[in-house]
Amino acid sequence: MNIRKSFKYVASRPEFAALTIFIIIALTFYAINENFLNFRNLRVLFTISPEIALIAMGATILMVSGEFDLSVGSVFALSGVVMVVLTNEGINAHLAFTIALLMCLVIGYINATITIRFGIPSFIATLGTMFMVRSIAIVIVKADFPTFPMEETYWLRAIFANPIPGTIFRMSFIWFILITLLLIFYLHRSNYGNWSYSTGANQAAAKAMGVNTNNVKIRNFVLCSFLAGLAGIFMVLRTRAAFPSVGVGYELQAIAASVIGGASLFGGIGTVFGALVGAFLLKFLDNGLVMARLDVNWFRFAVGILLIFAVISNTNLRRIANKMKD
Amino acid sequence: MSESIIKCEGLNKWYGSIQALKDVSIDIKKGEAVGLVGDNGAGKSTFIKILSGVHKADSGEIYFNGNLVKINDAKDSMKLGIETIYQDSALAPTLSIARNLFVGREPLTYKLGSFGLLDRQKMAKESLEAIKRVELDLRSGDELVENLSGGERQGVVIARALYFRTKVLIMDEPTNHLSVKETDKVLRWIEKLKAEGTTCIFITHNLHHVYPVSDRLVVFARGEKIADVQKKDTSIEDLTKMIVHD
Ligand SMILES: Nc1ncnc2c1ncn2[C@@H]1O[C@H](COP(=O)(O)OP(=O)(O)O)[C@@H](O)[C@H]1O
Ligand SMILES: [Mg+2]
Repeated sequence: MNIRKSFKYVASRPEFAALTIFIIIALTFYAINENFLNFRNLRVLFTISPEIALIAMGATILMVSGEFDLSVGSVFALSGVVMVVLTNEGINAHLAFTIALLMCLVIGYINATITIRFGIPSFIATLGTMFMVRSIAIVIVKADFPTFPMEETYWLRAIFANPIPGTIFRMSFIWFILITLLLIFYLHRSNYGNWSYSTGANQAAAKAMGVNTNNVKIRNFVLCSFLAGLAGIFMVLRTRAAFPSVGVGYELQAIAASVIGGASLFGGIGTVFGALVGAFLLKFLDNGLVMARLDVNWFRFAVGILLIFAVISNTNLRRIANKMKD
Repeated sequence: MSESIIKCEGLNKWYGSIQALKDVSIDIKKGEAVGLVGDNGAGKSTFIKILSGVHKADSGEIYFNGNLVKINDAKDSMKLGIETIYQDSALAPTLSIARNLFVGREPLTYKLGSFGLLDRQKMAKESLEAIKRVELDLRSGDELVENLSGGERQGVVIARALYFRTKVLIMDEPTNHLSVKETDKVLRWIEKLKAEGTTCIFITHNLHHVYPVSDRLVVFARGEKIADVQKKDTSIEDLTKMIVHD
């Protein structure tokens, strides 16, 4: 009986399947090339993975409430660009940091407003803002890739980006863990989270129970955009330069990570931890292919297979778990 | 039984050029079980949507406990103690029973503005008690609603109404798509709600379901109230004639 119960528990929580695949992938690449899990490469992995994971967690929370955001990749680029350009214009770096993040909140709010006010699918609304925001990022930067004035950003880099001596982590990783915990509380332990789930699962029912479903969505759009922008700033502080073309395709990777982590495209299902695992899985896969000296262009192929596999197995595991009475 | 709980006067509602409600007045007494019947398109759902704050009447007045009230949204309606079960499921299927029971009214351990942390212990404990009260054979509130049968889902909704001591429970076609056995169960729950003093408005196009549990029957046709009678003064045959022939 206990085995049945544990099986049901695991089967109804697809993030565990993702975690298993993640471990298998990590070990496989390690078997192919032991440098995959050496100190240097782990440092790389734990630097780049949290950035996409932040975006994926935002995407999952938004998907749970029944909406999508395709503009996250563009927001990821624009926030860094705005921060660097403003700093170079002589504006205080901390102020530029704040302005860049506020701008992300505004973009999230615009995404929500277009979607809700005009009742159009967020898929389309944010496809529109994806192009617009990307365009702005490129126009602002013009031709050259601006770099940071180093002294100006001393504290920002110390707080958000510098490697922590003797570890594989950067400062951004601490923030990432902190934010992950907050998001777990938000989605899984708070009333706002419960409203997000019910809005995504059955909007009419949530409304009838007095939930302001528009506010739920606005909040999650803003949160999603904010996390994408913050990830962009983490990257810029790390690379010390802004590239307006970064993050192309991140919106789809974030959705892929969410789905691999168990989120449903129909809303009402998904976890923060699942998104995190999905994102790490994608980045480990990407990096693992490089380390295995395989053609990196197989990355997309592998993501595609994983995605299809994940959706099929999630649906079926859920069905099996549902059929099991405990 | 003579004290009024919901009194409507001259309700009118248009959807564009369609008049869905024509000058509907009705006075529902405390603890009464009212069966609201009528053919498809008669305006039954429109009427209850006005009471539950989904739609607003174009004209007319609503009194609750004798006081003139404005019901602008679902929250206003719930604050008065009116709970509505819609024909198209009032639950979020991918969520647990416990989470469904408390949507919008979660017990919290910590609160900051409208944000709060869920009191999950209380949710687990009370949801179990709530489903026991409707004699649902479920072992925990963690079960997902999508795993429940149609009858069990109605049970959860009724458990919610009982738990929150709803004053007026409105059910729009609660026996639609249910088996005979499950329908019986729902009817027994309505008896139970009545016994606890809840006023019930039960909407259906199936007279045979509503007749046994009603104290009073109201018939709608083409947006108008065409009959409003005590059960003792009428019969299924009479009512059927009214619905069919009008
Ligand atoms: N949202 C709406 N928009 C336009 N017309 C509607 C809407 N809801 C109902 N109607 C129309 O109003 C009339 C009454 O419908 P309804 O109240 O749903 O009837 P019932 O519940 O008795 O079947 C019907 O003619 C229906 O087509
Ligand atoms: Mg109806």
